[in-house]
Amino acid sequence: MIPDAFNMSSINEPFAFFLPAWPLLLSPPLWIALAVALAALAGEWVRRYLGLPRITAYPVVGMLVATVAGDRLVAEHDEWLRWGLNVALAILLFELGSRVDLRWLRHNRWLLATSFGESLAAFAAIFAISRYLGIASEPAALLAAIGMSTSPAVIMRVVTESNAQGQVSTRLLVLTALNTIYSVVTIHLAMGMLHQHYSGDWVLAISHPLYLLGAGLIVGKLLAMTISRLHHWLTLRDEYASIILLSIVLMTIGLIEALRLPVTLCMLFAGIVLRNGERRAWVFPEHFGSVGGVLVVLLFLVVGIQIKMEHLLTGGFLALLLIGARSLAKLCGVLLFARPAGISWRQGLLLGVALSPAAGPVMVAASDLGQIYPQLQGTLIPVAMSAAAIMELAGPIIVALCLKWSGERRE
Amino acid sequence: MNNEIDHELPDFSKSEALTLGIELELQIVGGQDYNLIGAAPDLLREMTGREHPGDVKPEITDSMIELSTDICRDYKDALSQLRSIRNELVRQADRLGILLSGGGTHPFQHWGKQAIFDAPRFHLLSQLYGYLAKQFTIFGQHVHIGCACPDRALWLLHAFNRYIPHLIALSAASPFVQGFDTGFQSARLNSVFAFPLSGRAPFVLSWDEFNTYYRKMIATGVVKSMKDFYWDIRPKPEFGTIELRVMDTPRTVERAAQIAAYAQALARYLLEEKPTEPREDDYLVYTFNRFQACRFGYDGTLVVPGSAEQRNIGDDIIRTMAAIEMHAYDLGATEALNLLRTEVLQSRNGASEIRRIYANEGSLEELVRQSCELWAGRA
Repeated sequence: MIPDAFNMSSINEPFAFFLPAWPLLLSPPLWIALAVALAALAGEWVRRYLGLPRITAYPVVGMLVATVAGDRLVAEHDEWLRWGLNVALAILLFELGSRVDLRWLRHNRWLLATSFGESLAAFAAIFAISRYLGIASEPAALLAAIGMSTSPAVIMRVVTESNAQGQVSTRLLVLTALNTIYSVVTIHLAMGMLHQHYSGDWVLAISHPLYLLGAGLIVGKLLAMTISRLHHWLTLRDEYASIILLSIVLMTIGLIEALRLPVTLCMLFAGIVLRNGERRAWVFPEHFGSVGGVLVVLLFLVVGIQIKMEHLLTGGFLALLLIGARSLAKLCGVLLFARPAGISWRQGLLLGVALSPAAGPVMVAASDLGQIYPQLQGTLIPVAMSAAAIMELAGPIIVALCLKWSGERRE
Repeated sequence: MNNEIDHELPDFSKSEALTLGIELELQIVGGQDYNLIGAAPDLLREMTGREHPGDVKPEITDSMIELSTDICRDYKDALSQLRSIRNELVRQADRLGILLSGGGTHPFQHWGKQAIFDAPRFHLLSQLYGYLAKQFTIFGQHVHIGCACPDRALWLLHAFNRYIPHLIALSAASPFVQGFDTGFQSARLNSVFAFPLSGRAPFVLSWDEFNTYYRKMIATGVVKSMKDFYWDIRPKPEFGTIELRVMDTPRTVERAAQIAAYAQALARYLLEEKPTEPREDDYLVYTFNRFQACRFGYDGTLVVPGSAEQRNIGDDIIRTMAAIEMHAYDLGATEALNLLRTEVLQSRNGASEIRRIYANEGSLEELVRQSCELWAGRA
């Protein structure tokens, strides 16, 4: 990419050696930065004139940018973008984990029942539809596993940005954290089955999830311990302490990758351990969240860049069916236990609907699947891609509206 | 709803002398960040239909809730009622993932973030008082003492003025406001003083005169009902009681019951022994004494009305306890009195405990967490 300035045969030869070549050779990071700035501006516009959270604008801008510039942008900077996104996601999940109060789950068993209920229902709904479309049970299980999870990024950002507090938003966070955990473990199992890694070896099949959960918990525990030690002699709520937290998180991500563990799981566990490990009150440092906030723009932008116009259309009716069935399943799972779990029907309705945004990795997983099973290209892949794309764009708006109607938004 | 004006004072109901009623305003705290959370509607919804004595009602902002006992005979009765309401409230709060706490103020809540509870009366108050209404996110204990007749109620009300500093010092539990140590033991009362109709009731000793005063005030258009008076002690004709309103909500229901028992024994002492006859001039030192109690608690100075004698408030409480001991015994409140005496002798109250915890932990969130555990009876 670096232009060879000394190449005398260049047609773009400048008049003098210190002048740039013409037309200017602009490096892709400049375009990415421009896209980020556009996204941020669009975010402000959306917030001011439509009263929606900023992140609703980011994927849309990403999609538009990709249509104009092509996805060359991201592809060439895969490595550092991936790190940026990992960090953004890691911080989000860490914070999400620290919102899960295990004591609450002990006091309110029906909340736990709600969590199992909505996750299982979503799994069942997607599995059934995939099978109906004629997909083998292993890939169907993988899709269903992915579909269990509510997008942690969307939920965290919308709740944080609307400054929402109350039963719907708090339960939304807890249920999202839990269904993400179920989903990650099930995805790994389904992948194992799909790649026939187990091939009838039950020891392997059983030790795989145990390794994920056990090692994930240990890494989480280590991170939580480090931070809580630091917290004792350093006010981590200080702005300058963010850099320490950030570097610790980066180190942890390195460790997680070395151990071949999912970042999602480890960071969620770290948050949960940190929150519940000690009796002392733990409040997530605000400044730390805002470091992540900047990266989040990038996260949603990149998600948007991966969406192509045709994705929205190819899935057609079947994509809508998939979305509808999954959302309905989650809604029913929540409503079934709403009253015993201590929320009103109205709150249950809003909570159930707000759980519908699908997690970002759906599209990645779907295209991976497509490569393994070329025969799926015709049926499943376009449908799943389409469903995911629609939900990426609509998810933040749905959650924002649910929080608004719940009356828990405080801006 | 509250646009109507009560032109006439309601008749003073008959109530049995020296019965007790206790109201406690509670803080609803979020389990996530330990700040106040507007969960009163959720908590009230989950409380409906549950078995417990007394009542649970909304308060002006939706992060407050008020519990009240039925009419209590004595300390034991009050304590058991308070405990069972508290237990039911805590059970429901646990289901909702929220916490409840005593104390006169939330140490770090920001008044600007409070929302007014969605009921006509509260919206009206908010319109009238502006930010004062939101600053009124403070939490008090009210004790009702039954009076056989209205004139005796007014007499008792004015005889009580000398002991107001006691009640403040014993209950004080609001040293922190908006994240800072105010230096006061009960900073909550400073918020009450901002209201135009706060302070003391007019010095009248007969119900007829009081009625005349009330009608005059209605005629000025300044007030619409008894509810608009934010006096430290006010008569409550509907219940046939006088209502002591200077206390912070203590950090435990046990302390709340003990303070109510102290007030009950004191009332019996005043009514039966008539140690002094109340006079208008008693109020010359009233605000001074009250300030001293709010600021310094037991260490404050109290000027005995009708004399220039200055006493330490803590000493004066101990002396008073000796004087009312027999009455406390007759009312079955000896245990309450002994527990309170120990606190005074060790110069301990809610405010000193709150400061001690903050000094140890260095975190207001942790302070709130411990207060919630203490309130729930789990600490």
